[in-house]
Amino acid sequence: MASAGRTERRRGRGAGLSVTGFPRTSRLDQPERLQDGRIAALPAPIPELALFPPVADALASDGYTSWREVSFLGSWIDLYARTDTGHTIAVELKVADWRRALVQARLLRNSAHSVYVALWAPYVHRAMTSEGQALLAGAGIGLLSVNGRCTVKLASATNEPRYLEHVHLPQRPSRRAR
Amino acid sequence: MRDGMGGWPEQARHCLRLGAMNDKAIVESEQDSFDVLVLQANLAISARKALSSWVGMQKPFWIDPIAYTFAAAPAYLMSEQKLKRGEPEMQVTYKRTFRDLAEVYGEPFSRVLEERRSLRPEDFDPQEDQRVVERMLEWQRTVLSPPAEDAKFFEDEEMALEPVLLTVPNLPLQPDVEREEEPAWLPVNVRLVEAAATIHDPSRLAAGLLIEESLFDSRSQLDRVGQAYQAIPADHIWLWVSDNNEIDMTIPRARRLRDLVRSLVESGKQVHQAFGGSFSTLLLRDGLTSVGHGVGYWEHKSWEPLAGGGLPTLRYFYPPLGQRLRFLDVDALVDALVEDTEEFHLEVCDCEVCRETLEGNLGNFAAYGAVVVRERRDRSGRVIEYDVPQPSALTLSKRHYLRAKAREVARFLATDFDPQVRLAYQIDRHERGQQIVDPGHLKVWRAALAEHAGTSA
Repeated sequence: MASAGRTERRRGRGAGLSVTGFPRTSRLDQPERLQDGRIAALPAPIPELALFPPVADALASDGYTSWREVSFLGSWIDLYARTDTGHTIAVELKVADWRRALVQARLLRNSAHSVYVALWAPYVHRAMTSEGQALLAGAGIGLLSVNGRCTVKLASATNEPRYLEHVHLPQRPSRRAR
Repeated sequence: MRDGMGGWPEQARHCLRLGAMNDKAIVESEQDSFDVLVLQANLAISARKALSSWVGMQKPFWIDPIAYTFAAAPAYLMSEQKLKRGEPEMQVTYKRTFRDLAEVYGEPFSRVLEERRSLRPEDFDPQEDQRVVERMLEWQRTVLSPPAEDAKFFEDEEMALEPVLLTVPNLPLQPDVEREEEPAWLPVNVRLVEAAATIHDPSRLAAGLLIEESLFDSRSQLDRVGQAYQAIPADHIWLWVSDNNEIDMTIPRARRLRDLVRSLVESGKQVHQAFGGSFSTLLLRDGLTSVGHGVGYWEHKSWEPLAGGGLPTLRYFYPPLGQRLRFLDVDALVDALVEDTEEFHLEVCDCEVCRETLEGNLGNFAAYGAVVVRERRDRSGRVIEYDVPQPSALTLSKRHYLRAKAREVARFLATDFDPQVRLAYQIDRHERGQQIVDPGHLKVWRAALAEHAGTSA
């Protein structure tokens, strides 16, 4: 019996993900755009995964080992980091769309002790409105601004994750703790 | 299986449509959660022995002869098969199931397969209507009975296994775009029901009413179809609006569905929704006799057979919204709206499967979303990871679906149940303090039902 109602072709991430390597772009290192109350022209977006290295580097210097594309209960976490003591952080990377990042980050609350949205620095002002800050804080999600560096704009609430055992880490981490 | 010669059971309100034999174990173990098992003819003919071996299944059954399938493009009924076993040569030909069905059904079904084309209304010769119908109804009456040579192994009552209703073959009603008159298949469908009524009592007959989406949105032609079906000599109507997803329905469409059911019920018909979701369950209060669906799927379905394949999807049926959702969406809702398991069972689901699974600990809820990660390498040698649902998670989700649906039918039919109050409560609860899942479809349902009740939405 054809089972069209029960199955669907997997597209996008469902089709599988490469868990190694990331794009590098010379345009990554751009400043935040909120200057003296004026917003300068915004740059064209860069690949989302280009945000991975600066976030992973910052976490590595804080003692976190990071993995890329981590399977979690039917979803994929862009960046998942863990210390030797077991403290964990999940990060949803997005270049510009903070609302979509927030929706996705909310689904990760039970994967890690802290959950962050990481935005490309030129677009981070969009999430730093009073509405944005209220929604992020209400959901307990932190905010990172990423260019050549990674800056914490809003701290994440600390949460006791229910489903740590359902986080499937790839065999090889992408960045080891320093 | 139970014999259905006595006709439609008075209390039966809930049908389960079996789509694949690999759901057999779940259906058998959860048989308390539905009233009538619906088998599609393609399953009945290809797995006849397996079905008649269901000694543990104490339910009456109903067969959908899927005559409409032969009106679809032949490509839907074909697959690539080996020309000869053991040899590499391939050919595109009709699947065995459809060839077997065409052989049983005879003319004109067998002829159109030979001619590799779709059925057309002119293929049905009015002089032959009675013979066509007789063959197809007789096949339904006997297909699950053990063969005569095995009679010594069975009790008398096990030898005669009839479906609860005999379904008259029906073809899909599509709009007459050119003349704006009536769907081309309508006169044929009506003729076949009239022919069936000369053989069987109307109380044993179900007439399929399969409406294409575009016809459903054409008021004048839909009215004509409704009037024709009000007058046919069959007591039961098996309604199917092709691919009508109740979650995405507009208010006019929801009202049209309600009005169609209501008008047929008022003309004395017993109306069964072939593929329905929670809105259809609400229509049970409006006179709908039964609602049907599959094991976690088929709350809506297109009549043209679509290619199968792909990996099974994992969804949790979330009763407050009457919607199947990805596990993490439900989990986020639970996080936002529920404090503990007690509140979970009060507000989300109190079925036996959820109680067994949670065992007082919300952390156990992840059992519904568990996946296994697998690895492959792409052409350039990079490691590619993908996830598939754990079989135990799929089983749990299906069992929960069946149990939760049974509770939904019972709750919606309870005398103290008020759809307006229930829908308003869930809309309010899910709009407040969370932006995870939009409860907009509940507003559509509420508006569609409110007008009928004489109150504003």
